[in-house]
Amino acid sequence: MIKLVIILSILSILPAYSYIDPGSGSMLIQAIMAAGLGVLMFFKQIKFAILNLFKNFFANKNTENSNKDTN
Amino acid sequence: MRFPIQRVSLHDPHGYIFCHDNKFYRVVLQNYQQNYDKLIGTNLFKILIEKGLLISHSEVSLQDLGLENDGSIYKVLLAKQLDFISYPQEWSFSMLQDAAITTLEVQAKALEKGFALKDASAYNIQFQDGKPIFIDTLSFEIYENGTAWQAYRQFCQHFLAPLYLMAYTDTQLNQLFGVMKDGIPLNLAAKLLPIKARLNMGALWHIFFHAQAENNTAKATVKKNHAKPNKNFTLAFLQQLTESLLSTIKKLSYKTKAHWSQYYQINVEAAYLANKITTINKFLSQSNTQYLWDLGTNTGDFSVLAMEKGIKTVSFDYDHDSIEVFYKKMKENSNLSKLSLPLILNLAVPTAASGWANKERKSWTERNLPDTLLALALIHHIRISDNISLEEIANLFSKIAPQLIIEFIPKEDEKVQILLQNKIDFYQDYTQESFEIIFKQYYSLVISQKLLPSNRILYLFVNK
Repeated sequence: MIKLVIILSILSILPAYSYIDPGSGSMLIQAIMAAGLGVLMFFKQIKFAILNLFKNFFANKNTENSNKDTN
Repeated sequence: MRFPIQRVSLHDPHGYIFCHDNKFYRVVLQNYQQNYDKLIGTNLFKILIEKGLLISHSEVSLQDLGLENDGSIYKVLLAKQLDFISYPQEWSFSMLQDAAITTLEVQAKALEKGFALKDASAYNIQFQDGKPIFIDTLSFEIYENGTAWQAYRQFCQHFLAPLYLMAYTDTQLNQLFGVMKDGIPLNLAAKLLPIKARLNMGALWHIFFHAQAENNTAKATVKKNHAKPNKNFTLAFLQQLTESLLSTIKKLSYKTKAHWSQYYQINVEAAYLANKITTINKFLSQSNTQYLWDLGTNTGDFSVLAMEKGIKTVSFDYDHDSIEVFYKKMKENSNLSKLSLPLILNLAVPTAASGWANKERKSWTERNLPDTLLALALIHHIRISDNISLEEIANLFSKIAPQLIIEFIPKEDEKVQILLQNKIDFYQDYTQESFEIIFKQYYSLVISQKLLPSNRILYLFVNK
């Protein structure tokens, strides 16, 4: 729980311009989820970049081979 | 007549509902103009109405209503009028779950058009034609990048907390809606949920961590200046959050337990049941009923007889599981479900008027009253279990509806004897003769018939 509080305290939250009280805790928990989603997206992007690299590498190799075959 | 006239809704700064000539209208205030114009421009209203997610409405002119604009009003809308207003403490688990899903589907469509729901109250949902529908036309606000979902806490308090409490702790906890201001507080839900609920990721984040974060921020002595937008709060994040909540809610389930919910399958003799069905059908036809309340409906087997005749029926029972079984049964029958509304209500403590000055939500009998009341195998429970006199029962029933179909169960009946087995018999008035004398003070008797082979009797009364 201490970790949670530390993470919560370093995140910036937008004020509650709403007619219902959105609750500071609710903003914090959303901030954590949003940051978590950001991190997840970041790793997903890296994963896709690496996968693409491999795909391109093998795709090039295959085209080279097929070029050889046709030659 | 000038505005403001008597308002029915009180909280929304962008508009309110008022009643005029027995119709409910919604005022859109000038401060909602930008949102309203964009809602029309993006076709969001049209899309939601076509999908059956939002109640339909039309713009009307104040002049046509004979009312003057005080300058604050941008538009006046006449929404489709609802048959019967019900409240979340009267809904079973699946009804609240479907209401939550509808709210999130509305939010998902709104996000696609650049809007977010500014509130997510369960009172924004009503059941019309057997389905949940979003009724607050002014709940949409243009989404600004960098902002969180303002209604997230309210959504958790109004839907997630009661659903988890019903699924993990006890369905009766839904009754907390009746006494709480704004759904079920998350710290209370966290205390009432069992430890095993923490193993559920949805409950862990949206209830337990959420409640903890609320507690921690409430304790903070120096409030942070939250002036800077958070770049992680985007439309894409709100969409992810909505999807995640949707999948969490769809995964929740509740299994009904047999007792009252299987009463007619287990405890009742076939010949009596057949005779009862024939007699009810006869009395319903004779009474020319258009709109019926069925009190002590159980799983709605006799409400169905009315619905099969095209009669709109609101069915009440205090037992959650019976209403849950009834609602699920109706979901599979699209023709009948349009006429059906099963609700949880304990006749001994019916829903009270609530909200500010007790005028925001109406009590049970202040709502749209029926032309016929059906009370089968019920009054022995009220007389003997709840100790309410026959006089009181007749008086209340006669105020609710001009026609009454009621079953009298004599004292020697096995079911009455079960109720009496641990009680002193103070019920000397509970006889067929006394029942008839008392009810005839309030009604005229049209017809009565013994439901052979039992000694039970079915009566059709009309108001004097």
